[in-house]
Amino acid sequence: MDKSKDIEQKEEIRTPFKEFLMKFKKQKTAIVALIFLLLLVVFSIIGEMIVPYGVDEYDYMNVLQSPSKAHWFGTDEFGRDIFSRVILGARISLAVGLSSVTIGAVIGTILGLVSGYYGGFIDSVIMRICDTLFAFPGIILAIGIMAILGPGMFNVVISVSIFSAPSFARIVRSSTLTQKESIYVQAAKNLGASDMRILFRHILPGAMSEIIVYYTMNIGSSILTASSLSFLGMGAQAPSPEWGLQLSTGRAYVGLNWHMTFFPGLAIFLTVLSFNLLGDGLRDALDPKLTQ
Amino acid sequence: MKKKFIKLMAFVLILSFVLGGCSQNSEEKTPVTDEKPTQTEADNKGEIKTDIVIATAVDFITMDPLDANDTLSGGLQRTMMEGLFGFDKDMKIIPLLAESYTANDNATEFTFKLKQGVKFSDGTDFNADAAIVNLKRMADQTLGLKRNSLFKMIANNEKIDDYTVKVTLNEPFGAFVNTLAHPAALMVSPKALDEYGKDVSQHPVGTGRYIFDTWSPGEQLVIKQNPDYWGGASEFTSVTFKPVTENGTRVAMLQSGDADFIFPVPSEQIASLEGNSNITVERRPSIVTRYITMNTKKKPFDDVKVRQALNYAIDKEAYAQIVYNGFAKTSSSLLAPNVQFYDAQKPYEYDVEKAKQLLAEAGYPNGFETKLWSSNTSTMIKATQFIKQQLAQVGVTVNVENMEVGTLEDKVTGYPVGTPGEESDIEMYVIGWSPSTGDADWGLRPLASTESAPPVSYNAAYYSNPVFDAAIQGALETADPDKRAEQYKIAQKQVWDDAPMLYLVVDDNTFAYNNKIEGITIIADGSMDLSGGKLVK
Repeated sequence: MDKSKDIEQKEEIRTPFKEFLMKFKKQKTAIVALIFLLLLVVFSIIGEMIVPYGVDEYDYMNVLQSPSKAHWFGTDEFGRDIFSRVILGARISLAVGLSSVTIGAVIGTILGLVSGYYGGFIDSVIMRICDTLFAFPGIILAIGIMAILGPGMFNVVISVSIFSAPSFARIVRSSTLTQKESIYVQAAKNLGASDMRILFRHILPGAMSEIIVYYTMNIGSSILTASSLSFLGMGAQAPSPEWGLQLSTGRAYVGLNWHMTFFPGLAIFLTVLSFNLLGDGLRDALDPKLTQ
Repeated sequence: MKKKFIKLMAFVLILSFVLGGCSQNSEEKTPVTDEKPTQTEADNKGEIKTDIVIATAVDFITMDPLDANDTLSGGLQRTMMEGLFGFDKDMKIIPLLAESYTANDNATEFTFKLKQGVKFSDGTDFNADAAIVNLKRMADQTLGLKRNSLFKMIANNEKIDDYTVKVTLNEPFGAFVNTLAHPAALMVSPKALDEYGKDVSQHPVGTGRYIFDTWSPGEQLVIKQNPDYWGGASEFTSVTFKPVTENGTRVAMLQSGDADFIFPVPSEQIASLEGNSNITVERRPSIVTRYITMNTKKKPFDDVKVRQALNYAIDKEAYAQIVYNGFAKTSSSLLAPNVQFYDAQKPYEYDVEKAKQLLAEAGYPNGFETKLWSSNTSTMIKATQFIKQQLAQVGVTVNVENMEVGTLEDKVTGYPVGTPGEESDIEMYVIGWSPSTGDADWGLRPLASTESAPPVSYNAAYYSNPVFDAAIQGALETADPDKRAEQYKIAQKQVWDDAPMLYLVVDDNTFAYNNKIEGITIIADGSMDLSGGKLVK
């Protein structure tokens, strides 16, 4: 790339968003991932209109069929169409991934801001709680929380948010600590801006790029955790088309009917991979250190 | 998830290496072939294997016959201990430690002639004294063991001579001999009872073909050959039982040779085993009957038409196909066909229109909403989904609640004795029953007589019918098989027509084994019978 040209362009239209778009366009894999994810979003919204069979369309004459023209991904033990169920399962996985990470991010960000900005006792308390949560391996913590709350998708969301919050708190705290000493924050303080205004108008936007990257990456692992919980029987309950649950029921048939586990497994794999690739791309596009 | 499975397989692999090493060591100590076994020969030529491994689906609970209410523990106890009577492969009563018996006409006095020359494996003689110690222990209701109530009719035990015992009952009980064939009536060495007291559950001593060796709960239980067994020593020098809950792992163990016999074979995987020429898969009809109880004291199940309607609403053939992969037969009575005094009833043929019409007649033209309880095993999850879908066809909305077995048991039986059905939380409940006495009494009375409402026994439908109760009582008051058959005919018809349960299927027992062994079988009540176990030479 011609560097002088680059500089010229930047001088013409230099808003942060445009700059980001330009850099992001170069991340080919991330764009492919993004397209795949957008497709999933479309499936989640209009799934019922495009699938050939209903989610609970039982057909006892055609159980455990291998993939064919009529059933692209084959049928399961009740004769339900696996292709339709995988498409319709996208909604559950996306909803759980997005909502749990969003809740975790909001809680974590607020805690991180408060912790980093005020310091002292509050900081110690919040950080020690985070340390405690970090000490558990993620899935074990999630299983523990599920054991207390009982099975169900709503509880999966709660449990995943609880264990994703501390990571956000840490990231935001470290960013807050650096920005607190910056000239613009000091200036705002001297002009008499309230703490709230400083935190949310000046410090938060500065931490935003890191939050976005981490947020994207975290959705992938949250979907994986949610599927694992369903696989273990603690998340979605039959007859939900949740992918982890489909994988779990298919496991009994794995010797003869590989398609029952293969396709839901592939769906989980591709979705998580896409979120991670997208996250990588975003980081490359957003991180100022990488371009300097 | 996949990672987890791989880890599990890796763990099994490592375990098999370790255990493989162990069994080879013991073979070296007790060579069984005439040829001098060199290390390589032993490894390559596959010397005759006399230590066999059996993988089961669940763990054993206790080795105290009187305190076990699970079929698996009962079956395992039968390898080490024997009762006065037992069952052959077809669930027919055979005498074991008793040679013969006589009973009076109204079934209150039974005289048993005992087998002579039998010793417990700790050297104690089996005689009238030993039998009486055991009979007393069974009848002693103060012990509070799970199966004491089975023997509450024993009033008095009298020693006629060293090998004759007369038992007097406090009420007529025609099914007494069957009850003595139940695994709870296995004879334990009086010396062991003395020595271990309650801990006999960890140290069972009997007259059986095998002797208890070691047990680490959750891992394995080992029994070894009883060289002095009165019927001749077994061919297997030891048998190791391993509880392997994961269906796929159990099958993989059989395929890899880590297990020689597995039970049950998950029906989904039977097809994949049948292609293997080193493995035999067998299926035998069981006496496990599957049904759904409906709380007859609660609306809308208080109306017999509703209960019959639901019986018509489920396609039992499809249920057997889908849930049990065809390894089950539709029910034709509350009793399974292999149970004594079974009498076939007119089936509730699958008929959605008839079901809807009956519901309309009962005042529920638009159906109703109810909840269905079951355990959370994969089979039961499949079963409940099927039932939910079928009942939706007639407008009945079923809210499925799959629970862990302990929780479920609590929810069903966690009420004080005498709590009326109206106050119980239960509505519909999928469950199965295996009458281990092989007799109609134990197949009907605990499930449907008025006295058996939870928590006393398993009448979770809170069914109460005077005709049924009278027939059950009438059958108990005689030892004459013809008269008992007549009464059980009445009882079966009554409970079938009143439909306090939604009758589903009778399971098949499926088991598979390595072709190096033969003769081990699963008898109809689901317990394991090692008596015919042989090596294929």
